Amino acid sequence: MKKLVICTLLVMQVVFAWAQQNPSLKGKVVDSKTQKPLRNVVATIQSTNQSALTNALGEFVFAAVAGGNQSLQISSTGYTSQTFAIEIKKGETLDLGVVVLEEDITSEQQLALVTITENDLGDDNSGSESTSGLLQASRDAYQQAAAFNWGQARFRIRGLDNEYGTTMINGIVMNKIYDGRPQWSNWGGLNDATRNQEFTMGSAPSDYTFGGILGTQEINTRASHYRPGNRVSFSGTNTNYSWRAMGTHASGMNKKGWAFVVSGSRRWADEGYFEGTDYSANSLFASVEKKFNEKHSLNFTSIYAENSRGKSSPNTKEVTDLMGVKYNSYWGWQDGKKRNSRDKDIQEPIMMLSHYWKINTKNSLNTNVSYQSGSVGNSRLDYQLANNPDPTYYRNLPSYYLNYHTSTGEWQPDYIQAENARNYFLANSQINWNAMYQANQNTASGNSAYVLYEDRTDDKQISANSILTSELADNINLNAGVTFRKLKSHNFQNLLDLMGGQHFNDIDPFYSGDATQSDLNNPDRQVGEGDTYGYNYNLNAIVFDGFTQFKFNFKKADFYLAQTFSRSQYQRDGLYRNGIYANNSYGESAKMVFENFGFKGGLTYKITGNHLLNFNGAYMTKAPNMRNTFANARINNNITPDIDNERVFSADASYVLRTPKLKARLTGFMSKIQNTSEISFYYGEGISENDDSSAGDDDAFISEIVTGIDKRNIGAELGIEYQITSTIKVTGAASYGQYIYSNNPNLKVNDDALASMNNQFPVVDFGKTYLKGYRQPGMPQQAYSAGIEYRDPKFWWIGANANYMADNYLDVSSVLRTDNFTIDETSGVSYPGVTEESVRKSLRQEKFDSFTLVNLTGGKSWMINSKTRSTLGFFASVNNVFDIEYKTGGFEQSRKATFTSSQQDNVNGTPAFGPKYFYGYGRTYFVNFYINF
Amino acid sequence: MKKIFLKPIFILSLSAGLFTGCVNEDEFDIPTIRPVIFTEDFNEVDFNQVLDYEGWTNFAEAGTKKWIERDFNNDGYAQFSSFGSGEASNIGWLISPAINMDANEGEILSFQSASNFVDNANNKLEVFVSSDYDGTNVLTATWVPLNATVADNTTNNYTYIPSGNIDLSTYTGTLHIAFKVTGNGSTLDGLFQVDKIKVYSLN
Repeated sequence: MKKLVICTLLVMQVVFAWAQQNPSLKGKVVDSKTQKPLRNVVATIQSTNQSALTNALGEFVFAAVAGGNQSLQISSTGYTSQTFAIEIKKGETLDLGVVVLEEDITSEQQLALVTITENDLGDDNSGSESTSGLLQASRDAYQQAAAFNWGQARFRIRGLDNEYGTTMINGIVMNKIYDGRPQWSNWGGLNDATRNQEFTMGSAPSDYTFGGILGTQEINTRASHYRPGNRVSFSGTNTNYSWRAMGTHASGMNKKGWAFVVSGSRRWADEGYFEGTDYSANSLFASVEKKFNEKHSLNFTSIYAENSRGKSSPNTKEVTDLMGVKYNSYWGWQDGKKRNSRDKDIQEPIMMLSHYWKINTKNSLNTNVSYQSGSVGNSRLDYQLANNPDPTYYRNLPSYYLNYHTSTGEWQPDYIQAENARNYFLANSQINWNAMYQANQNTASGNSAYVLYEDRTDDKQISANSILTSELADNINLNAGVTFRKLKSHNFQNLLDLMGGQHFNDIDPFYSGDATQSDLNNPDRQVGEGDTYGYNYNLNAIVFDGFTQFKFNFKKADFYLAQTFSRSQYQRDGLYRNGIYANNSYGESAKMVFENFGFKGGLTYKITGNHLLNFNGAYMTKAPNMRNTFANARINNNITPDIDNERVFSADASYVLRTPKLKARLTGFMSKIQNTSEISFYYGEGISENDDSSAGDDDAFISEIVTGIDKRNIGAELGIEYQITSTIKVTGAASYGQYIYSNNPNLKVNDDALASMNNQFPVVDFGKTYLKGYRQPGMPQQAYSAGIEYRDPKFWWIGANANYMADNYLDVSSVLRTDNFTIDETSGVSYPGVTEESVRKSLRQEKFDSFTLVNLTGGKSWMINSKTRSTLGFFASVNNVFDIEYKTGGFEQSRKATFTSSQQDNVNGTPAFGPKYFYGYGRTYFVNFYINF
Repeated sequence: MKKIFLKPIFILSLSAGLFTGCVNEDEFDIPTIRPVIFTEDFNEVDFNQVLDYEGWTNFAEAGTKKWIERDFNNDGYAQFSSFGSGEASNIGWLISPAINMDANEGEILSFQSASNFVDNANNKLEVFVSSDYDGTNVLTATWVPLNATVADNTTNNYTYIPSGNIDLSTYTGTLHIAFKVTGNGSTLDGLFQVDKIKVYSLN
């Protein structure tokens, strides 16, 4: 082993030879199938981060490399990376000879991944998804497990929401200003075209942005960076869609300096995994680059992705016990077809012009201008003075009769009515479209009692950025960037379908007098299909941010320092004068300006070339997102009380081992996010004892404002990968975390029903909500994975892995954890039966059962024509082989918010307002056939 | 040598950090509990009969009038009135059962009182507590007056006056609460009502 050792990882032959010349390292890289030279392959000396690119002949050269034992990594997008242990001797040239890179057949796995990250289980009307999109392919065994194996169970890296990560296309931030999360659907289905990606994890430095504490994802669409060729694929699956067809062509740079890439795809399903979830998505991508000279290139990218799909309902245990986990209450039969009442429609095309300027050998400047416009719509049924059309409405279910209490609090279960309700529900478990159409045709004045509408957001956003990369000295690099974003977001209620009626009255019959009017400037309107009604406003935002980052590379240590500044300005502009908020809804709100800064730094200490210690730390303040800045943006200009910047702190420490056979990383991390806000909107009922459910109305629209929330995440993650033989690899990954709320924040409720001309900001202060010690919900806080993979030299591979996940918790209701729960407002003392023990029992956070998922993957590819490098192949996977049923999340309903009413609702054991749950997929498969030519 | 130690130190400090930082699942905060130690709403009413609730003492120190049971709008209360007694002095005590002051901290008393036909400040309602009342001998016990807001000659018309939160946290052992009305059958013949008596803990 003291001798020069070159370890070959996979199927390849490496020829090496000594040359008695200049002190340097060189080699040549070719494709394993075609044996043709590969260009733009990156060779990196891992201890010094020195790197070299291969030329058109596939050759790379290092002029000078520090002596001793080193490890060299050779990598290129779409190929399996290789690491060599080398020993450099002074005055001698080490020639690696021919290095053969094999196409990374596991990259096909990414194609299956998107079916998971795109699945929107939540019923959040915001445009974006809450699943973790940063869970995408990367090299580390931990991150691979997180993406491919744990992602389906809503695992989140370090327990952090997407808004703490930064997703970029060509350096332009794609996180929405509205809620801070990226809208993955905006480029969904364009896997081939968005394959050039760079990731960083945690607060580690990115060349493009300061970033958040979760990590960054940068998608590069520069046309000349795509490997020339064509690719057509066709897939079948039983997840959120059934079929997918995709085609991509990349030209490569021609002699006149032009390069272009086009890609298109279609995904569709009549019904996805859950009942009544139809799916239709079409995506188009084009990117053209013109290289003017060695210094200047222009690239134009346009991305158009439209996506329409039916959502599925979260259900209470009572409903799931009756109907099964695939049950979805949102759809109903109409004309022999399943029609979903809650569709999500997205189309927000992006156009982007990029300028690449290589100022000189040490400096380059990349400038991008982007325009994105389009719409997001979430449909829903609206009804006036009519019965709630939801088949799972609480009065339709047995629990309502089983838990019935008289006004004096006496339990009077009605078993006969409960049995009737059960039978009726089993026979009428879906939306009855026909009944609604009939009701609409029989109203007194031809008005619709039921309509289908959508909550629409039409955004127009201009973004521009400029990123400078500069080599200040041999071992000092500078990254600097500025970004400007201007958003006009038009939000309104759009009437989609009168459902057989003549018109719809744009009033709220729950109120009386002026308060019924949605727009006093234009009262008593009768609206038709395509009309705006209900609410109508613009949100305007201007966000500016800039960062600088210095990276220092030395023999024993690398370190970096970065700083950022940002300024966010939000303003609401009401287009309706709402009858409840006549003086406070029309026109512009106050301008809210948030100025923030951040610092971060980190160090990599090289014990040897193969053993590294890595430390990162970051502190930043962060503007609240626009969604949380306005207390009830739909109908008034009120600013959220106490809204202020968040404080974010994060630190991690890693031990990294990378030898040719064994690669491992062990990381400890912690983050504190302080002073965050959460606003939730719901139709409140029974919040206080005084407006209990007897009235049967759920028309009081409430916004619940929780401010000053502190969260603390600590944990450790481990990824380990060992190459047993050249064909067999085992991997292991573990994530153990504890993600909690660490204080008792404040809760206020904006209740429209309490508004008057003298009180245009009807906020009721509920005091503290006692959340300290509760777990952050909706993700397994423990996850473990073990896998084995066999890659045959004949270009086929199979893999299997088992994954154990635990400690996923229910999202607790904040209002249930205020003094309102335990203390009777009228008497000032606790309700009868309130003791520490009974309250703890009642408010204990539900922990979901742990579970184990087993997944199988495999694939094969064939060479059809070695001259044209044409290959044919397939990839197949089966997830959750044993069809394990498991919960991925759920939430308590914010009803029955007093101890007494909660006890009453639970008296029979099946509460009418029990928590609603989301379930993961059972056994699913994904098969993809592809041709590259 | 250094590199041999770095790894174990790193792993040790990582696991130490994890174990010390973790909190148990049962360690979550809960909303405020204000347990009721004693409560009486006088809602079991024999209309205009002498109040005879179990554990309560209804004692006439002077004259023959005692506290009686009444209700209005289905809401019961205790009332003392010397109207028409024809006696030169009427003093009526209504004394609660023994209340255990050792099971909780920060005890608070609250009640409400109302008056009518009271036109002289000497016709009055007073509130006392005693730690040594034996349940029978009212006059030999030590009665400490409480600083409560009560109905008087300025608050007639049956308007309920909240007592405010009266701090009883300094008392231990058993405690009796007494409502004492002083009047007569001629000039001081107004009526007093007491209701919603509550002793609870702020913890």
